[in-house]
Amino acid sequence: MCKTILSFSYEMRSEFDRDITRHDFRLMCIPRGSLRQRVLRAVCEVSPYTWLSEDCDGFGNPYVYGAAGDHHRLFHVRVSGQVQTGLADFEEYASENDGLFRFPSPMTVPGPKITHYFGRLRPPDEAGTPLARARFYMEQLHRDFSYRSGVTDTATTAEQALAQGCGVCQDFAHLLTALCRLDGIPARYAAGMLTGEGQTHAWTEVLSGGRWYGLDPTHGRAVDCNYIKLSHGRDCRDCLVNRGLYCNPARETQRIRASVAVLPPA
Amino acid sequence: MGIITVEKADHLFWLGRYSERVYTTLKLYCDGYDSMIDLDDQYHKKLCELLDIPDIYESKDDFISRYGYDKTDPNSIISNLLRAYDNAIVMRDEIGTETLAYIQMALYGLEAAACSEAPMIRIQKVVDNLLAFWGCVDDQIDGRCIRGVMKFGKRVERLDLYLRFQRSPSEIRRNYSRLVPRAVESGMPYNKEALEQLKQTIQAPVIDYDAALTQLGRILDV
Amino acid sequence: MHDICREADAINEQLARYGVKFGIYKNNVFKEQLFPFDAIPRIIEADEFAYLERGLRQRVTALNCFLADIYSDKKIVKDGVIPPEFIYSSSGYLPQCEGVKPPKNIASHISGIDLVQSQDGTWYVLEDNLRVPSGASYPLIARDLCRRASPRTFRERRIEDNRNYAGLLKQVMDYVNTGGDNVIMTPGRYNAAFFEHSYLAEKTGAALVTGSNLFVENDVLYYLDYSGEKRRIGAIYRRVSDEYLDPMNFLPESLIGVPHMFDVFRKGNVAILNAPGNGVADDKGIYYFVPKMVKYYLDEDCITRNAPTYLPYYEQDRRYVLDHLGEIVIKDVAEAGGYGVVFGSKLTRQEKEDMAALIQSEPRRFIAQDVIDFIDIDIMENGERTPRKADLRAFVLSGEDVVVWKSGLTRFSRDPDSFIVNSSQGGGFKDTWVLSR
Repeated sequence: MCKTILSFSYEMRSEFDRDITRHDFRLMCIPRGSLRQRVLRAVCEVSPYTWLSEDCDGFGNPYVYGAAGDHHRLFHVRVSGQVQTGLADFEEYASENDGLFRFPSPMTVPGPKITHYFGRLRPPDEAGTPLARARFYMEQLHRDFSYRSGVTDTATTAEQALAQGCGVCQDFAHLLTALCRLDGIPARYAAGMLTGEGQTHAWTEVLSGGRWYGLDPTHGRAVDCNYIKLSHGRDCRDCLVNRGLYCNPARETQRIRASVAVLPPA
Repeated sequence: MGIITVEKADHLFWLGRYSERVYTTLKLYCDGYDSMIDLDDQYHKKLCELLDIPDIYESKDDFISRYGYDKTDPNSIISNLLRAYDNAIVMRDEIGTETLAYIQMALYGLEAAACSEAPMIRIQKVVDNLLAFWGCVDDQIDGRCIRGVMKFGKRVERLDLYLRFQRSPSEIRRNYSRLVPRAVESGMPYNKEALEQLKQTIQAPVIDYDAALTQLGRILDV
Repeated sequence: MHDICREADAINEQLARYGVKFGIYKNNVFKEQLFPFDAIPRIIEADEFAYLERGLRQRVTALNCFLADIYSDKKIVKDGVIPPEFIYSSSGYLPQCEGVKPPKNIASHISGIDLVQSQDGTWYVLEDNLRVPSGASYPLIARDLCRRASPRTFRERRIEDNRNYAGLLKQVMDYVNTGGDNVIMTPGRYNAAFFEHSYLAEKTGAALVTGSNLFVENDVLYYLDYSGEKRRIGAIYRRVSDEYLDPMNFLPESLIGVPHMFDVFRKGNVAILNAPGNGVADDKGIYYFVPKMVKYYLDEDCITRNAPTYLPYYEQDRRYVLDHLGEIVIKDVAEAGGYGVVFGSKLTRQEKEDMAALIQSEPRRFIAQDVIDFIDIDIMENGERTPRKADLRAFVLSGEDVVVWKSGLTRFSRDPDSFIVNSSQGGGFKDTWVLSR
């Protein structure tokens, strides 16, 4: 693992076809520090707003929230900064709250499809470490489940995704999470960003030997220095990057652009 | 107390209006009922015109039963009383259980009258409860603005109905002068200009009732 | 007492006058129903109540310790007293509450503990309700009317006055208030318990508000009065369930909630009664562990008794449950309000087999209890005294002190064959007299 400095930005532009007011928002798109990544700088710009505040949620994920009370048609968020990654290939096991990640959560409840699929998987070394077994599930999933956008959405459960046979990174992450939990391995959903992608990304983290390891089933590889983590939780519902609510009925057009680039060594 | 939200002010205002509407139309209904017993078979047509509601009634008997007690007829007395009740029930914490009880009992009374062979004699109970309701408002509610808002609603409704009935200029003027202090006392934002224009209209030797109604209708436009 | 029964009609008439109703939905249409009142009271002797009082205070104290522990260190799980899946698989457990300490560290301010008394006189706790237990307003207003109907009864017998409930509630609100007004938040007019919300607001002097009256600014919760002035809220007694409280932190589709209310709570700027996340402690599965909680946190033996309960989760219990399916009552832990309760004796052979299979495949989902043959209490029906099943909801208020309200809601089933006495399933209520000597 090599230490790398990544420069990142997350940008969201929402345009409304008419004026909206009393717009409340909650943004979880600020990188969180760990043994694996250190946040060197993070700036969050929101416009417009009447008030802003910040906190960390029950999982320790930083978030920014507030409201824009006045009439507006454009809402713009930009988070940017630099993160040093590759400091370790794992995250610390700090919260001692792994119980939370051992049992099915609403989006990852295994139904007949997942149970059946899991039953067919035979890790080469059943007595191997949780990480080794999880890696095996990841590889199988990467092979058996295909990437296709537009066929699932944020409400699609792991079971529904598997029935379809295809989905996006969120569905891959849900499925790997569900499989690991079936095998008794604590697993959690992670949201973040990846070099060279235009959207946010999601993967799975598994607990093995007192350390959390990131596995990316969409790409079939371990999480490395190219990943910036924003949040983790039981499933995607705990890691919603942005939430918004406003008064007037309006049609919203949202554009999201996440970009991460490797900064050349100074 | 005396701390109420905009939404609550709205409920109080309409509670005042609807309970007054029921009270005044009940009296009209009873007078009409009396005429229709044996004096005037077509009287309900006049009443509809006076009340400015569509004459959807097939006969005087149909009018007597549906205008009085049909919950599906939006213009019926019971529909208006139910609206008063709907606005009252959400205001228990402000007007008090004791006061609210009179609206509740007025409703029970009208429901009982509906199933009765002799509704007029039972309507007395409804009228009694509405009067007791206003007595209770005066006696039990300390918050001046709460009382003010309800009475403002009541006075707007009374004047509105009297203008529709084209009551005599002296009655109209008297009711106008009872409305003005309530508007001030309520603390609600109201249209001073419209109120001033209304004053001019009703002080003319011949009252233009339609113009007055339009001006009154703008009283909350601010 | 004869006086009271003679005046039963007059009392019911008065209850109708004051609109003592609860709402129900029938075929998706909202209807308000009078809550039928039976004039024969439940009478609890002074020493008997003293026992219940000790037991309930202890129980609620332990439950509050549990809630504080579960959302912080989880010692009780680490020490192996409660298996982790009973916490984390519970729908009432909210990870959002991790690390959040409610004002004065009280999570369950108003606890409704449901009890029954068996034929031999033993009291059993059937259920703890620590989210939004309702029902205190009914005996509260009924007492007022009974005293009017039969002053002599209350002169001759020494009956504890229960009309201090609103005062007790206000004390609790004032104690946890972080600076600002007390308000009661109702989901609205069409909620089953709207009468209670508005009545308690009137009696405690708290403002009755709905979500649309409330808003958050700079980590402070406010409501707006009609002149446009912002009023800061220090304590909110909300009668809205956790999921709907705040669309920014819980269910995003909630329309009755207040965006960011939970963030204000997290920052310690408002007291929410009861605190969000309490569902983890009144889960039917957790109920089994309450006596263990008492021992664990207070190092005392549990005074109140649970109904004999079996957790199919444990193999030994599972075997017992499967062997005695015809004699026990099975409860689905996810259901509430008298739903999801199955009496084994009423199952056909096929249903029994299906139930056994279900228990084996999802053991965590169920608890099983011995059927308690609880005491009947007489009600008046068509002028005759007839026995009916009745339970008691005791209210425990936790503020500066933990106080058991000297009364309670006694509900009875109208159906003579039914053991389920829930008001949402069409029962009636009685006054509960606690004798002072």
